[in-house]
Amino acid sequence: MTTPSDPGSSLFAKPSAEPTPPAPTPAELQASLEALRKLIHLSLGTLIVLLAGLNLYLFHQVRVVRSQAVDLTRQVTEMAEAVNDYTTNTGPRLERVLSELHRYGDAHSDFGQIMARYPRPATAAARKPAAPPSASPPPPSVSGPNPAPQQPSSLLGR
Amino acid sequence: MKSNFVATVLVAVLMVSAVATVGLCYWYVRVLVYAQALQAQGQTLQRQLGVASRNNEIVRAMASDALEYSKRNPAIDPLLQQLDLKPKPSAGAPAKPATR
Repeated sequence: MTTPSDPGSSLFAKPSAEPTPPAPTPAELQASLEALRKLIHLSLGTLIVLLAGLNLYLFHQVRVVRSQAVDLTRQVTEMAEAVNDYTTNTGPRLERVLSELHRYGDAHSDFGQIMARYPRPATAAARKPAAPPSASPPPPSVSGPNPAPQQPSSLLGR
Repeated sequence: MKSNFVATVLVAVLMVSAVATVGLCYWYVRVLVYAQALQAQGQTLQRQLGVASRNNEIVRAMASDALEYSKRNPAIDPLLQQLDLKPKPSAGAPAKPATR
């Protein structure tokens, strides 16, 4: 770049002590190109193998989580049925037994002393309806019902 | 030319594999979120069943006390029979033998 006729640039010019390397021959260039190609092929192959392993792992994990989700769905369905059964059948009956016995205890002091050990049922006004559990999202690929169970009545007002 | 073809094929396979990875990741996350939602719902139901079980225990203990009370004071028997806590006397039960 610098020429001897350029006096300003001669101050910053580095002394060219090292001889410039000889230009590569076409054969050397060809060999370098082949080596680069092999390197790229090897890198691509390694990436493909790594991604294939990752895909296999993910697929296995998806299968495991899906089977767990199927089990959970079955359990949740059974529990929801039990809760619904309690809400519709057992709960009101228990509440009736509780209130009737307490009423009898109010009228008979000796029995009232026994009943004093047990909590009184909450009145309908005091009972707040609890928020239903959040509905789970639609199953992505897991078949099965997705029940939205009702809360059991707070029989004892707790 | 042949090397270019190999590279093209490798890149194509890599792309397909990358797309499959993204799809599998999405599927995995969706299934995981669904399973977590189910788990939370199951815990809620478990708590509700716990409350129901506790209520059952309380009423059972109370009924037991009432039955014990009925042995000393049979006046409560109609109420217990009405609540199905005590069996009703069957109509065909043998009557008490008349005292002479």
